[in-house]
Amino acid sequence: MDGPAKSLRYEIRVRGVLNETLLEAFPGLRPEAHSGETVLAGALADQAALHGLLAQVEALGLELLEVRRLSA
Amino acid sequence: MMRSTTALHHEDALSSYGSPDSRSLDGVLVTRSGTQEIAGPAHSVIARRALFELISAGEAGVTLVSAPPGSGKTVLLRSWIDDAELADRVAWVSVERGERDAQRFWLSVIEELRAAVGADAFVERLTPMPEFDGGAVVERLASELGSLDERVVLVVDDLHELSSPEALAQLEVLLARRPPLLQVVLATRHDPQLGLHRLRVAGRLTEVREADLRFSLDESRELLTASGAALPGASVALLHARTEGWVAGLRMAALALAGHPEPERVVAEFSGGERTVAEYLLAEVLERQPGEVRRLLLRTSILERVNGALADVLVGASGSERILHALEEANAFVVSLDAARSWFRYHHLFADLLRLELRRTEPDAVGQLHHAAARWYEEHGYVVEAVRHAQAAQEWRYAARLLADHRVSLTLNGEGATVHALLAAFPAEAAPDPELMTVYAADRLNSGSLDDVAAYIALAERHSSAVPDERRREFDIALGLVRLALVRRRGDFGSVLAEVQSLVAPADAETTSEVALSNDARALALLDLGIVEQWSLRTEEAVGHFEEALELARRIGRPYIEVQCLGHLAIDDGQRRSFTQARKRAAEAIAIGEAHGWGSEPIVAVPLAMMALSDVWQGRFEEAEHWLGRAERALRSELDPAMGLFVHLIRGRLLGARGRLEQAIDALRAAERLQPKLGMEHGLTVAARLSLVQTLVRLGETEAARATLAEMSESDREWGGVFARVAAASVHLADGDAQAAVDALAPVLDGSVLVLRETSFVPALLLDAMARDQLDDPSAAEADIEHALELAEPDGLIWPFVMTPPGDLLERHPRHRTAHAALLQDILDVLAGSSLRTTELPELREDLSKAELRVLRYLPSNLPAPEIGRELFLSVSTVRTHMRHIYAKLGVHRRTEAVERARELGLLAPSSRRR
Repeated sequence: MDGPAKSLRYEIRVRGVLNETLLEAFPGLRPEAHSGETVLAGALADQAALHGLLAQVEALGLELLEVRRLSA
Repeated sequence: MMRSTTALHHEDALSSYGSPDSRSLDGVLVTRSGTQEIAGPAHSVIARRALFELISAGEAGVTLVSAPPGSGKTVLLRSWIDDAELADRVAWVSVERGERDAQRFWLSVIEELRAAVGADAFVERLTPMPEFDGGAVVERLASELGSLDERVVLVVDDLHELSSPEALAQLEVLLARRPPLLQVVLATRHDPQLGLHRLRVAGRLTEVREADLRFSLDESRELLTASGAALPGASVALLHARTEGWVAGLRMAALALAGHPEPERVVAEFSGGERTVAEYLLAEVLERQPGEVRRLLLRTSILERVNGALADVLVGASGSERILHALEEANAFVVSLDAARSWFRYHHLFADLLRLELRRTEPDAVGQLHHAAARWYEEHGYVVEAVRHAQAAQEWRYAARLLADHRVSLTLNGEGATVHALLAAFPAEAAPDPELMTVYAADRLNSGSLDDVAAYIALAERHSSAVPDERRREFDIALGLVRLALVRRRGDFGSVLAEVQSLVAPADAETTSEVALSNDARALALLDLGIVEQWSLRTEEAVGHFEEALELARRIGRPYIEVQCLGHLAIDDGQRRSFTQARKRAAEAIAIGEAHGWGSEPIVAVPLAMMALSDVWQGRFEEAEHWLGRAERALRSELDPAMGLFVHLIRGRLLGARGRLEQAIDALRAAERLQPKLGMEHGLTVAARLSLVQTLVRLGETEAARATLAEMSESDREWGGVFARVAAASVHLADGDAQAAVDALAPVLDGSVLVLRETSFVPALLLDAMARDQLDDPSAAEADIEHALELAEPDGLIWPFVMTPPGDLLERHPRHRTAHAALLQDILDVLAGSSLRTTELPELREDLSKAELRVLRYLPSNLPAPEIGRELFLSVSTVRTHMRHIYAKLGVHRRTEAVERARELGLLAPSSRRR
């Protein structure tokens, strides 16, 4: 590998307000709930981590509304 | 839309995980469970007629059911199969979670297809093995399914779990070559990359998607009613709106509401809230379970599958099996995996939610539970599961030790790809573990390069001081085994023999803690050792080890080792006893291999080559061609250069025997080119070089022959023994120096050069005869010829007379004085250009008619009978009649056999398949 890749910040918006149980599935992400939706925000190491996260969203039957990469 | 509540099925509500044992789909009526402790409805399935019709209409193509978890994909397919009365025509394959093993996937496809089409009718059996060629397996499968005469449905459920790129690529091939009578149904959470767009464009793809799967309001009401959760219309509408017809949500609601004192209040609260559907309903469901049930669900959620005994260990109480049965009967997302209902599985979504709840409520318990599960699995012989849980508990040393101790058996079981995936799950900090390094090394034996194997062995050796004393012996064994395996393939023999011999010494009355080699490891070590000894000409020891390995392999049921032992014993038969015996043994090895579906795999290359070599020696050149062709296709030279050398050598000899001398020289040079891949000068290289010299002499290239001989080192010439002197003598004779030839042969003929078999004297005698004849000593020449015939007679050897043709001495040989007139005639026939045949291969029972021959040409393709009919402007039934007659005349029962047989008989061109 050529040194640690720079991690990137992402925001993932899903339908519904996630309770503590579901939040267990997204450690390291900061949840923010408003008007029936939850935004999970945080730094991810790379694209693979992002895809892993999206797979987790899918596995839990959550509805994915938006994925955004935040500019630094 | 027509709807009706169908019979209640003894199945999971949300999704069922098929396994070979749970394939019974008959609509068994179950009465509601008598168990009191599980709150929840009994099971119900809604007949979704419009979707059934949609899927049924996809009969001639591929059906894709692509929707998020909990959409009711599996239940839909199960109930469709039931409704369409297809249960005995369906092959149902559920992909295991995170499946990375292509072999395991295809084995279950084949297993299920065999069950669906009637075991031996079309699809041949396949036994798992270390070297797996998925491409060839899929090709064969597509061809076999081309002979289907009735529709078969292959369902692949949870396709999104298939993470093996090879398996997906191979599945794409199967879809592209899918015979019309095979309907393929794929159920998945997201669209797979299988080139489905092509099918879509061609109108051959039927799709059932998320929107199609959502329950309508009426269906929702029907489900709730059938589940015993009767609600007023307004509440049903609220629930339907809130879940948006999402099936898992509705089913969880049914489970939570059945028998609830105030169902309307729950619905109202739920509908007013903003929490996610699944999580809210899970909490409701869990809350309604008694404490012991809740505890069991949470603590066993870390498992992929659960049984009563294992659950007892994890919850620290007894009676789990009873609870699991009750949960299944109550339709609580639990389904049994076997007919005996001892193993269970939770619906994936449900399990994931439970696992999160466990992590939240008992975070410290997770590691301990994995730890306990790993121990339980190890104790009960489920190594792969034990490793997975050890890894989940981050007990890396323990996981490495498990893999190191069991890797031989896992490999022999054909689970090499699983081991490979498990290795990938170790973090970098676990890597320097020397025990783990031995597993990495072994892993690369089948999947990587031999250089990688050597590199990992070196790493293991470098870090060996880190192995604790109590593991020292196991480590030495693991390292010794993998070094031996490398040496066997590279032919670099000297170094390891003594070391490894001590490993395979029979375990005596040592205590069990003084770990003896497992039977699998022992059998494999004996085989590898024998091979190393055989190539180093330590034939007695080699045979002893082969026989021991053979006996052990038979006792423990390892045909993979049995086939190889027989193949190498056949080599020994040929070297030291008789080619008739070698051929018999090789044929036995091939038959065992074929019975397990390995007829074109590398492990049958040895016996196939020995069939060819025996046929060459005994003058059956056409048959030799057939066997050698198969050996060449089965071989993987890059991972077994020594075998590659052997096969090229036989090719050179066969071409030489058939008079194609220039091509023979090319083949022998190709054999020599493999030398650099071997660790040392291999005995077979010397044999190839000496064959080259003689072939050059026959071609009249005396100068080149002399140069080739001169390039050889003294020690090689020594090693070459009789053959080196024969090669030298043939150069002298070509030079016209008969006396030099006689001199060169003298130490051979007076017995001072050691030989493995007396028959090795035959070419020496033939050359001596020619030299004597030229020196005007015809009676000595005649005596030589008679002696050569006498040596060749018992085993019917013809090839030496073809390779070293003694001019007209054979024709001049007096018939009234020879005791070997029959052999002499055979030799003269072969020299005149005919090839002998064995009586073993039955002749064609009756010639094929012209029409039958036309149909026969289509059999190697995958075209099914109706399409062959279209091509030939014949009706399907005519084509089928022709096929029946062809099979009868060829004496076979299956299409693939017919093709094979027709190729042997020269009715079809030889296969161009693979390499």
